Parts: sequence; C-alpha cells; structure tokens
Amino acid sequence: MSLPTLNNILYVEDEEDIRTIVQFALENLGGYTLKVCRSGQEAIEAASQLTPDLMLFDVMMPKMDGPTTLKILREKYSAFENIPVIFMTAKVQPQEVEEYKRLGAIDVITKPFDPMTLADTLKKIWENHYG
Amino acid sequence: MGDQSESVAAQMAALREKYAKKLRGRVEEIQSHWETLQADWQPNLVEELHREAHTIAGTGLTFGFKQLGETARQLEHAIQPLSQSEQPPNEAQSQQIVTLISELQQAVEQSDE
Repeated sequence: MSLPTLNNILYVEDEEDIRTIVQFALENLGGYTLKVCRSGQEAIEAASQLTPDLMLFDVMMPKMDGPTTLKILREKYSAFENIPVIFMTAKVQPQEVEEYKRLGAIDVITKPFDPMTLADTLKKIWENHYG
Repeated sequence: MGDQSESVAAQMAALREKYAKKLRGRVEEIQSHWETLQADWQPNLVEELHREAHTIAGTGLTFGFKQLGETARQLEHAIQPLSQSEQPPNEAQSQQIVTLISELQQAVEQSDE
C-alpha cells in the first residue's frame, strides 16, 4: 500500500500556549495545514466542514476530554471512523498508553514535547501506521 | 544556517519570549491563591492551584524553561494529595509548598535574563 499524504490535521488543545507552539511547529517546521480548536465541543461543531487526514487531540481538557471528543466525532460522522488519531498527554504509564490505543489512538505523544522535533515525530508515527 | 532555519529560530525565540512575559503574572496568581488558602481552605481553589502548577510545568518545559518547569512539576506533586481535600495541609506540607512557590518565583526571575 502506498503511503497516504499527510497534510490536513485537526488539532484540539485547551491550553493557549501549547496551541501556539504546536501550530507553529507543525505549520512552519512540518509544512502541514492545521485546523485548530480550543475544545472538543468546538471540534465537533467544526467537523461537518472538515476531512482531516489526521486528528491530534490533547487528552486532559475541561468539560470534554480527548477520548470523549473522539468517541462523539466517530459516532456522529461516519467519515471520521477511519481517520487516525494521536493523543497528546503527560500521562504515559504503559497501561495508560494501552488504554489510549484501545480507544483508537494510533500512538501517543508525550508532554512535554520538543517543538523542534514534533513534526518529525508526527511524520514517523504516520509512516509507521501506514507502513 | 540557511535563511529559512534562521527565520524559524527567530520566530521560535519570539514565541518563547512572549510566553516568558506572561510567567510573572501567573506565578503571582499562584502566590495569591496560596495566601487565600492559608486564611480560608477551599477544596475548589486547591484544585485550581493544582491545575495552575500543572499548566506551568507542561508549558514551561515545552518552551524550554527547564528549572521553571521542573519546579512547577514539584509544586504540582506537592499539591496533588491536598486537592479535593477538606483538610488544610499540615505544617510540613505547607512549608514545602511555600518553599516551592518561592523557588518558582526565582525561576521566573531567571527566565527574564
């Protein structure tokens, strides 16, 4: 199978400073196009207009966490069922990572992360998933 | 270094500086919340203090402020057992938090340099 192109990313994060640096890293260093949302609710409202190649969700967010956002999106929009998701979280005990994968994540990016290598990390995860 | 990587490095430095400028106010807020808690123990406010420390730890380390981020992480861990607790901390716990907030203030001063 040839490697699908990774271009459009739906990114959800509640913390403004992290949003800023992730957007900078992935757009300026990775060359990706991001749709940035501040909450799971905002992502669900925007989803009908989107067809991202990949979703990148923070896990711990107030009101609606990343896994819940994923569940609702996939229930509501069939197009999202097969779009890969990566979670970002500081909670990366092996059993926690296994749980995220059980919920549908193709991988987990550990916080804090190095902004300078984030785009490369994402690319490697994408290649591993489709490789 | 080529023009493009120089530009990326400069933009990264600008983002880091912008973040650093917000730190003093955030640590002042932590100090202020702690002072309020000492007079009147409120579990909701402890939870907020815990979240503030958690946020500074995560963002500080991501923006490359190691000392600040690690001190905030220690503070987060020190507050963790107290969050949602109806009981105020004991003397040793209070002293540890006071020390860590003071170290956090020092780390902010250093991040200005």
